[in-house]
Amino acid sequence: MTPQPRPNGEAGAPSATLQVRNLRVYFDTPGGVVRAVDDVSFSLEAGERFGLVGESGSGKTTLAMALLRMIKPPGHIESGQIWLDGQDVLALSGEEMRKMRLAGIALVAQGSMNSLNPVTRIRRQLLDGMKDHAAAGSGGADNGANAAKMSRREQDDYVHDLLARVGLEPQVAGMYPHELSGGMKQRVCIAMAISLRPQVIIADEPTSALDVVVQMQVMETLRRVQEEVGAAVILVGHDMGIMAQFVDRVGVMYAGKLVEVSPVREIFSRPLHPYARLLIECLPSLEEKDDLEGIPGLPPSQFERPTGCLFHPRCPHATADCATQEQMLDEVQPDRWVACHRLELIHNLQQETSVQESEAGH
Amino acid sequence: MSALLEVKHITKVFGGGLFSRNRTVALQDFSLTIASEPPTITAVVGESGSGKTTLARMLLGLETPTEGQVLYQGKDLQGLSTAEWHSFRRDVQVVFQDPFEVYNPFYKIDHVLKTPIAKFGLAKSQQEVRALIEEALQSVGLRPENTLGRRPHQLSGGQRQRIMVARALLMRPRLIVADEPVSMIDASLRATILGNLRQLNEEFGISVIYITHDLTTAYQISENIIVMYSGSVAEAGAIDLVVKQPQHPYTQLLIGSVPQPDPDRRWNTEATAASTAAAGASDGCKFFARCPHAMSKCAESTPPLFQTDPHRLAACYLHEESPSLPAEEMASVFVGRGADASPLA
Ligand SMILES: Nc1ncnc2c1ncn2[C@@H]1O[C@H](COP(=O)(O)OP(=O)(O)OP(=O)(O)O)[C@@H](O)[C@H]1O
Ligand SMILES: Nc1ncnc2c1ncn2[C@@H]1O[C@H](COP(=O)(O)OP(=O)(O)OP(=O)(O)O)[C@@H](O)[C@H]1O
Ligand SMILES: [Mg+2]
Ligand SMILES: [Mg+2]
Repeated sequence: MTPQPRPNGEAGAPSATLQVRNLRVYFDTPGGVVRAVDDVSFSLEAGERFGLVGESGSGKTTLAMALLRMIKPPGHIESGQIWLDGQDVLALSGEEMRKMRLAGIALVAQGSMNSLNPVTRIRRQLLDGMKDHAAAGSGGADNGANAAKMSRREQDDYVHDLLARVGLEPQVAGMYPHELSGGMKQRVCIAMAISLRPQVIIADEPTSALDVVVQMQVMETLRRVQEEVGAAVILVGHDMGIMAQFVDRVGVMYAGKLVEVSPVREIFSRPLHPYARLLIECLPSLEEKDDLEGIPGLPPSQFERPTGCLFHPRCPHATADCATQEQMLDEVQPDRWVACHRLELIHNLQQETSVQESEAGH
Repeated sequence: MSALLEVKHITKVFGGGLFSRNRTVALQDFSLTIASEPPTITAVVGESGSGKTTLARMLLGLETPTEGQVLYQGKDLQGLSTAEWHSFRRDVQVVFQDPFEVYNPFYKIDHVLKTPIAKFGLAKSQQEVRALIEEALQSVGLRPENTLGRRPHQLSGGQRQRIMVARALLMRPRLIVADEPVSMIDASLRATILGNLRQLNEEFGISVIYITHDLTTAYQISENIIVMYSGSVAEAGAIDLVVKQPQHPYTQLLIGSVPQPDPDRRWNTEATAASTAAAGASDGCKFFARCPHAMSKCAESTPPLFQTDPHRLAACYLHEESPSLPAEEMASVFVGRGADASPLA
């Protein structure tokens, strides 16, 4: 696993399945430029599961859409590189990009359950997804799926199999979206995204509308399909329980920037960036009742961004340096990337708490 | 005194005639009383497709029950006068599950917030309008200068969801029906918003029906909980009892499936073998096919609500030695604010 969040401008195709280098996505608005994604770099190995968490509005969905080149005006990719399986995504033609979507990189969009066509039965929508692709001459369809050549019976089998993979009954095929609950619709969307066995699956809050039992089924389904085809997954979400259960590494975003990228165990047991730590501390438990309190303060204004570290106005450890100098994401320990000036202090604090804990244990 | 809102034996059937293949019983013989006093927070949890949103829509008068009635201060929603309807629309606010569906994409966010202020005369001057809006936005962690003047698609999912919460709070209603109000929001903001909801509940006497899949936050803010399975109540009562010692096998499965934010405590994948069957009118317990304790009796008749503790009911024959309670009395076992329901060890 080579995270390489800061590849220092090396040229050429990287070996990772997905590599994002210094990506910036801006929106030009009447009030000014919104830097929704601001100098983000990370990479994914084949089969790796990567979680993207962070404050609402921190740019997770924008980042996901940029990977698929689906940013709409007034938004645009300002600069940076995206490499998918050795291909320079930003250099692809429109037609090549169309092929890349679904077969190379597929998206279960945030709220995608509402993008289902309201007047078309689920069966048709599942078949159309595949057909569009066959027509575009997709090379990646090694599952042999080609709706045009299938008999009615084969089509039924295909549709029922896809539905079964996400835990839906065959009769759902004959239904319209409004006849399904939110959770059922969301599962249909997941079925579509996995239909062409892509190399990277981006799932933007795929289970936030589902009950925990179905959540688990869906995530296990995603894990199974993903392992079968060796696809990497980027899971965007706010449910830290699911993150802990599903992903290998976590990237934490704040105000358009990645502030920490660490293995999942470390994020939960010893988060280093102060924002990451405060976020983890906010997690409520099913065991005892706490005061419900979030991190004090608001995220920075999009037009008057603070200088230095963007989190410094809300950070309990901020010093004068933090207000003036930006800290880049840096590999502070093997496989742990953090953007913070105050790591020595944080390290000492953590030493103290673990000493206290072990003393309390005696 | 009559209750603020009363739901009596409502059933909602979607689709086709009696024998149609696509007939769905979304809610079956559901009753609930929401008293004016004391204000409480009641969580409604349960399977996807178990009828929670359908219930919310009927509470709001957006959907007509196939059978049964919804009463607002003793009067059937169907028969409210224009003036009563106006007061109902102010008293009962909603935060919809789906922040993507409810916005008119051509209106700016300002419109969403100004319309109710104008309609219900909540402010006397433009300054007051502005102040109300800014206060509401800040209470959900939004900066007015980055929010006003924008259209819905220019905001993130969680930002849109928070506008809905801000709008409901602005109205100072007596009841907020919140359908997954914080599902797309990070843990910190969730805590902030739910903390605010809790505080408003206490300060202004706003009751809340909190529909959610997030059992942890439900546990943190609610006094009582209703667990739905396939259109019916599986278990209901004081939230401490239900969460700590679930009695219905479905509730046990649900609580046991909550993913822990700890990579070393793996979720239990065995329990979920069976998939969710669509609700259909049938005899017997709806959970029968998936239940590890199923008995022949369970397939024959629908279990009533058994009162296993003073403050808890479970619709399960495992508890048939307990006295049963008529469905419309469900809310009578609920606890009030700060009450200690737990005969727990
Ligand atoms: N069309 C647009 N014009 C202007 N600003 C936009 C536009 N789309 C998004 N933004 C802004 O970009 C920022 C990032 O949005 P994004 O949807 O990526 O956030 P997110 O991290 O996915 O949040 P959430 O967790 O709430 O879904 C937000 O502050 C949002 O307001
Ligand atoms: N307009 C409709 N026409 C037909 N069936 C419907 C309609 N609305 C809901 N249903 C069905 O009613 C049942 C209950 O749906 P509802 O949306 O109330 O579930 P829910 O508990 O809110 O689910 P979720 O947790 O997934 O949001 C589902 O089986 C759904 O398919
Ligand atoms: Mg998003
Ligand atoms: Mg719902």
